[in-house]
Amino acid sequence: MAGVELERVTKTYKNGQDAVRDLSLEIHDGEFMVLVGPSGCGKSTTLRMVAGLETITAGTIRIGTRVVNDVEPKDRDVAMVFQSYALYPHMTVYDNLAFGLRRQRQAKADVDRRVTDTARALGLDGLLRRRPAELSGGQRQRVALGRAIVRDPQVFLMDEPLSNLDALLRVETRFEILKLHQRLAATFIYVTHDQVEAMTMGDRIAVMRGGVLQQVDTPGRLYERPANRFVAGFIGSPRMNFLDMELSEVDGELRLLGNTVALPLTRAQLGASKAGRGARFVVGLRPEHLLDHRYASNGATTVSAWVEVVETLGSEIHVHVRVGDQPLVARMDPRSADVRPGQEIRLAVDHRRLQLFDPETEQAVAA
Amino acid sequence: MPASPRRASWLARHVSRQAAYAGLLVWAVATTIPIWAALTASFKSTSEVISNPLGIPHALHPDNYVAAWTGRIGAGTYYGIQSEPLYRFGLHSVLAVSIGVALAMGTGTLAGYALARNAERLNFLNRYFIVLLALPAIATWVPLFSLMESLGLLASPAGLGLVYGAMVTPLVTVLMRTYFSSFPLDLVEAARVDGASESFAFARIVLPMSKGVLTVVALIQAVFLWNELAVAEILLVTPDRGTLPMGLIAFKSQFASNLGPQFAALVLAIVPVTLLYIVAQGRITQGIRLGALR
Repeated sequence: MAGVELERVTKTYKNGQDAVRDLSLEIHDGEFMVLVGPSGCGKSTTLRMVAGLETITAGTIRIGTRVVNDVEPKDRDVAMVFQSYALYPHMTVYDNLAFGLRRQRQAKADVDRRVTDTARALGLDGLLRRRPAELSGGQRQRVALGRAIVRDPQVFLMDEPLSNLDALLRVETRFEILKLHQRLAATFIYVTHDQVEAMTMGDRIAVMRGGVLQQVDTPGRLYERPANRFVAGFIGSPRMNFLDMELSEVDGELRLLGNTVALPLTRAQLGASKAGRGARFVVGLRPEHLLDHRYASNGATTVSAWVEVVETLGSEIHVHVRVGDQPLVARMDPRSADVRPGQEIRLAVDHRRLQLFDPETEQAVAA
Repeated sequence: MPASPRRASWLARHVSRQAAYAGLLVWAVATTIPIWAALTASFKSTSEVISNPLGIPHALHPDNYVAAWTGRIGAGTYYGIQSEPLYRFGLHSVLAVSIGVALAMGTGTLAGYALARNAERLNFLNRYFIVLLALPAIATWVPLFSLMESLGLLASPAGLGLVYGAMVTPLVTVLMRTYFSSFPLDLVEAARVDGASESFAFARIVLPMSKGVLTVVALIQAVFLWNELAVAEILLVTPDRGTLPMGLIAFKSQFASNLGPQFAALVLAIVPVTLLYIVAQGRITQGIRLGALR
């Protein structure tokens, strides 16, 4: 087993565009690392560079202690699961699974034993003589996984492997892949554009945007302490509310003033920032920090809001409201099921949890 | 009731569909009649071919086929060369066409794959092959003759096969490049991560998946070369080494007054190509279907 290290890796296309810029990322041995970001952010390119399917323009990639910049994909001891599965359509499931082992010139009996074991572990026993066209989507997905597992590689690379599955199967397979990771204790690098997938699966998550790494951290810290406004908005559903506000000071008390909302602020929340009166901020508020004031503890700031849309999910309710001209989303518990569109309600704002971003640099302020 | 625009478009669609069917029917009849005429005439006596060109034969003359198969061409009447039965010409054709198709498929498939996988870098080469397609063949005849003469390959059906290969390689290359440029690259990449080299992936993944297309392209080239006459006439200077189209012409002049055997010879010349079609039919439809899907 081995970790993967990217050191100042850049990929520039012929037209001069950077697909990935100056990316440094250390993936520990046995870690489940998720690369996440919107399409075109460079996450797939990064994965393909680790696989050796894409050359790198600058920087160093190590698998274990070995520099693999110029090593052929076949000699990197990695396995990859493609979004399209890329099963060989003219071969049976057995031959698909055996392909890599036969390339390693393993003895026929060994190939047979490992293919059979892998097939059994993935519930493919009865399907070994079939061709990919005769399998369901979920079965094809498992063959694609099996083709990676059977070789027992140092690193597993997965490029959006669940995006062609229906919702139910996706959740099941997510669970299967996590169990697989625990059982194999191998290094996984997993690419997805789905932040829920990223949050539920990753030991750590690397958020990318426009070829640039934004933040690498555990799911919890990514959610609680986003490094910038992009990460804050990308992670979490419904997404974080953003309000433009101005800092003011009344009788030694700090306050944030918006068009329609005013929120108290402590010195600690400003951290090391030198911002004084008149400084402008983008204030981030998670939907769960906007509460139905009837069920909120006393002392919270309350604002009056018009309800526009109510989405009932059973365990929680997403209430889309308007405070003045500012649209906001609140995540409420089922006690607030009596909230109706068109109604005026009072929202309690848990201002101790708000996050500040610089409107120019979009970087998080302090904390 | 005034016709609504929707109805008018339905009418237009309906009429144009009927017109298309009518056109296809005319085309089908036009292409079937000559084959029918040749097939029936091959069983008729000469007088009946003239008096009853399109009808069913009154009496069958299968001996026309015996004459066509064994009838010797030459015997002093044709350039004074030793006589040869028609099927010998057929064998020369089989030899030249097989070598030509094998060569063109081999080089064209490899070149097409290389061009498709390196589209940006090799774009100029791709244009080169397209220019070759547009080159008038007649411009090459004189230098080709000198070249083959200096190589000592005049009057050699195998030598003609080499030339045939060179003739159709550009088209095969362009066709295969187009096909390969839409080949799912994921499969090749999966194989490479799985431990295969580029060439292994090509041989074991790309080629087996392209059987249908390869068959269709090979067949098109084979039919074209089977019917080729001009270059064969130029290079196969001793007529007893000629290909089937040359043999048919010689046969025609020798059996000028004997129409039955002439038609029998024509029918025999069609048979190999027809057989090839029947054998490859499954793959051909598969190949065309794949092409349509991608």
